[in-house]
Amino acid sequence: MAHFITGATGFVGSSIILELLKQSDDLIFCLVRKKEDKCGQDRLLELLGQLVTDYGYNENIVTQARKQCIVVEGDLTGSLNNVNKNINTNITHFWNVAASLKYEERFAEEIFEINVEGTKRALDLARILNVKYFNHFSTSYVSGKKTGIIYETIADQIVNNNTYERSKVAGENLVWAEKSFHTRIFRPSIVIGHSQTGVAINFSGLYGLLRRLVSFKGMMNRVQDGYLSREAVKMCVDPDVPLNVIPVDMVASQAVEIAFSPTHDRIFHLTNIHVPSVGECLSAVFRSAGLITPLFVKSEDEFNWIDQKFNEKINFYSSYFVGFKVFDRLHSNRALADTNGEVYAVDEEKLKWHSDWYTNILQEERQSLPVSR
Amino acid sequence: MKMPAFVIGTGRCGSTLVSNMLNQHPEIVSISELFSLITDLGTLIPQAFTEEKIDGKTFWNILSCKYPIQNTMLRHGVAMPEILYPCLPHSRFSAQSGVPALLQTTLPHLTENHDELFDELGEFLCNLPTASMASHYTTLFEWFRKHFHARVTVERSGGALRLIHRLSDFFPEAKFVHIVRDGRDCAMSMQKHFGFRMVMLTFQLTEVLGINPYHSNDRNNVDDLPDDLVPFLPECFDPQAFRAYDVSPSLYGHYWSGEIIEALKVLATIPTDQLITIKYEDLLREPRQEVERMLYFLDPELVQQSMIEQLSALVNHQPHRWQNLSERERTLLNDACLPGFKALAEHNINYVL
Repeated sequence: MAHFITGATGFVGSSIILELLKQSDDLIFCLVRKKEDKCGQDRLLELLGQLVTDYGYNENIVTQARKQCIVVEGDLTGSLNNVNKNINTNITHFWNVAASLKYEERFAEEIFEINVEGTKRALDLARILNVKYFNHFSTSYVSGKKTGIIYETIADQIVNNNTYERSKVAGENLVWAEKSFHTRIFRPSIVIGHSQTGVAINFSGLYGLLRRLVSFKGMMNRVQDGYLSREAVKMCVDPDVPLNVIPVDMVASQAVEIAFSPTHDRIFHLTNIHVPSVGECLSAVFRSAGLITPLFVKSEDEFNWIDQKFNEKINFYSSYFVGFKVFDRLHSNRALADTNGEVYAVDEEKLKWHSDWYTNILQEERQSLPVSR
Repeated sequence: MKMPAFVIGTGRCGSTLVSNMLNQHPEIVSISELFSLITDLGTLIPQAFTEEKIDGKTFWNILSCKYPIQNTMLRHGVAMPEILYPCLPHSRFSAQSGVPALLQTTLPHLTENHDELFDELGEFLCNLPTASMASHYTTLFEWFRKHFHARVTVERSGGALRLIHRLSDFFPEAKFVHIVRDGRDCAMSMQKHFGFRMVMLTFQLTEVLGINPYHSNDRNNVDDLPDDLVPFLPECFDPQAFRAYDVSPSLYGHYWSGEIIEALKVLATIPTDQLITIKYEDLLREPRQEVERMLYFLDPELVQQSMIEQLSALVNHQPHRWQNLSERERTLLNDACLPGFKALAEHNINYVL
């Protein structure tokens, strides 16, 4: 078998590579963007080497990576027409992991360019490469505003919360309609750092929220020192509903195991079974940011101006804090029958541990922040 | 060498009126907005109060730099009303070229011949030997005093209460005139003031980007910037968005409370004969009495009946705009100012809520 992977230097993509290296001797062709300062091969191997250390993996994986990983320079936002000329092996598994995780409206065009047009180009290339399986990474939150049990079926008649979700739905639809090869859609929930070391290399999702909290605290400290250490902000969310977070290594191990299984199912929730509630999650990240746990209110009428502005600033994240959702895992569990997936319970303290890892980085980065007194 | 005095207060506390009053007195040099402008609206405070010894040329560079925030505002027609430099066709500096910090307000506040004064001062300061920043400032204030044949130099920068710990460290023998005004009036006035609007926006930009985008080209975190803040980056500054940017007075109420609480801790350490507190409302109600009290505090020799009359005539009553707020906004503003009022009450400065 041989693999082709987009988004190879990304958070999930790099973990997929490490998992493939752990589980196989297969060749892995990695699409890596060209950068002026360093060639793609060096960049990828440097990253994988660092991750092997950061994730606490066996150093042999680095040697394996040198043998098994072949960098193909290219970019999903550009033409992939010539990429196949650098590949002289039959690719069985195409892993489309590259994605834009941006969400502000000013990036709408770029988000669609990568998540939708990029998926089109990936499918085109997969056809040229005559692959057997096309493994596409989406998100369990394509479910948008839908609540209740979310099944591993194609998102239909869904109202989405933002451009990012809409782009992922459009990407899924393209993959779902593809008939040239067997397609699988992997839907991780909110991906957090490594289960054993907490290390992450992408700081969207939970980390983006944490960053917003730290900035907001800093802003308010400039307005009135210590204000947010005394006053709790109010949030109008559902504190008791579950929030599905999953460590990156579990996403990768489940995805690779499913890809290597004989399953004929096509959509898989790569979600966690033991998750915190929204209230626990917010308590963990607020505490990590040095803030008082928010006050949960029933109506936005109870907001003061600061609450209102705060909630506007984290609007993107807030959509994940309302509505009861349970992600059905029938397909995933069936494919992972032997192992049923590794169990990694994320409770409030575990999430705080993950958050603290990033808070420490933020504190270091912010040491040189210009003062206002 | 005579120690300078400082008029300090929260933003929009009425210190501009005091500065204008003092400017009328022939024996006082009224230095206006020096620290506001050489810190580029409070964003470069460590540079202006560095502990390092610097030479005269470096000191002059700090005073005469064309700082980006104030000049962006000038260029886009949203300068603060305190900016006095006349950007006319024949002027030496224009909004496009940028105006040195010292020429934005401080020198035009003193004389119509501000450009000449600027050159003269530059020549003098550039030749100063290496010394502490405090020493340079003292030399600067003394130069002004002698140049204008005055008894006292009084510096006043809007919102300088934020600098009180630095000013009292640098000038331990200086006198301080603390102007206090009802926080609700201050907040209402700050809400409409472009300078404070810019300060609030710069706070937010700095917190998200990890740098002040007006002083750094690093845009590594620009993707994190919420859409609503993008128009305030210097490279795409949108004056229309700036004019339309609205912040609740309650935020400024919190700001006012914070400034008061922090500053009172420092003011409590200043010897009583070096500190006078004047309520702005008392200045409006009893201008003669308060002006006399202030002049006597600065230097008893400054007290002249004719001057008291002349200075008191500048008083101009203003309505309490916060009373026109909706009940909800008024409650929020009251709540925001409450910690500040409480802190003042502990120092026997009382306001009726």
